[in-house]
Amino acid sequence: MIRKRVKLLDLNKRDSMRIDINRIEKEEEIKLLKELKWNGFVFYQYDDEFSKEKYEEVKEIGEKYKLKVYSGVKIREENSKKLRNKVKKFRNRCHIILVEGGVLKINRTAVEMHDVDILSTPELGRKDSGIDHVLARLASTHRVAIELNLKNLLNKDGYERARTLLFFRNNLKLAKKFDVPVVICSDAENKYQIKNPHDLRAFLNTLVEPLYAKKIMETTYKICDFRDYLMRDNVVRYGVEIIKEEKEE
Amino acid sequence: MLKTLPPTLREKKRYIAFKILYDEELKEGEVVNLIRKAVLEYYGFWGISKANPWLVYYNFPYGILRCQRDNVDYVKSSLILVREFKEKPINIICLGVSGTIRKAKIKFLGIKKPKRWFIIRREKLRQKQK
Repeated sequence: MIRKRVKLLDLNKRDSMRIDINRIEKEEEIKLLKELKWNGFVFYQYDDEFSKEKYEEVKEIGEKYKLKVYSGVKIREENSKKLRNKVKKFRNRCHIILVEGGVLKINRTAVEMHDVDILSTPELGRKDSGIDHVLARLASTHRVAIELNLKNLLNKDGYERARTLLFFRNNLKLAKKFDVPVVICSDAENKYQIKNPHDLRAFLNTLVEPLYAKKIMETTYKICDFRDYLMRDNVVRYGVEIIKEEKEE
Repeated sequence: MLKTLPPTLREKKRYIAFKILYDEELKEGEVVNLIRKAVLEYYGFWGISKANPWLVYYNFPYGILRCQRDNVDYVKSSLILVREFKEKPINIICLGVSGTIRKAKIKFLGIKKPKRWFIIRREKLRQKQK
């Protein structure tokens, strides 16, 4: 009897690194993150209150619980010229730059910049999803990720919540077609907004197919890892590293 | 009384273990209403008829919820979208999914030797007789 060996895709296999994006500072809440099996998180601050010392404090607590902590800054701006200047200013200070969307011009400027990592909440305060096929194509060429913000969904009720879900669906549909990176985050500020990574994936499973949901869950770590690599002292640009410095005699 | 269906025709079940973060202690009835309302809000009447969620075990802050195998993700995501109860913030965290109540208790709720269902039933019957 001939037995055929068939490799099945294991959809239940745990993904490698689970990284969240949030604003959690307290020790007990960071401990809860560890309990819920997150591998790390991006601690982001708004651009007007950005301080590196605060990040160092959070990083210290995070490392105590063996969590990887990345720094991030969220830029709130309504003028695209000012936004460009701010992105330039913060690029070398932190790992990840997020831009709060909502205004169509800001969405477009964010999506056109290589230095921006994530366009956060493109549908904020709008009556549409904030992203069309033109912006999606631009985001794909400049590798700017689109964020699905769970806090944005949680804070709404009734029909508005359903509308936000619809915008998520529309954005995901475009992102899949144009190969735009997508990121999901809980954006938690307190312990009541912290979610389990498997729950977030279950939520994604209700919107898209399981394999694409898996890809979305992994994207945050990929972005963080890439930026972490670029921020090393011996890296000149992507692929160019100084291995050993020769001293001239 | 109806005859029990053969195993292949029975509903395929999964048990979701969860934990509630809330300031005060909640009663079982309150949690049942909370869960029903949450699933109804996210999945609707049509969906809830498919998912068939049922609270099997509850001991604040932990609980076990039974639902249909194909609809676990929908029930889970409706639980995480609960924001407040009686004007206070609440968070329901899913600890994991299991095929049996016993394993869910051992693995996720930290009960080392859970009582078998027939022992619990026997004890209840004895209490009633007294």
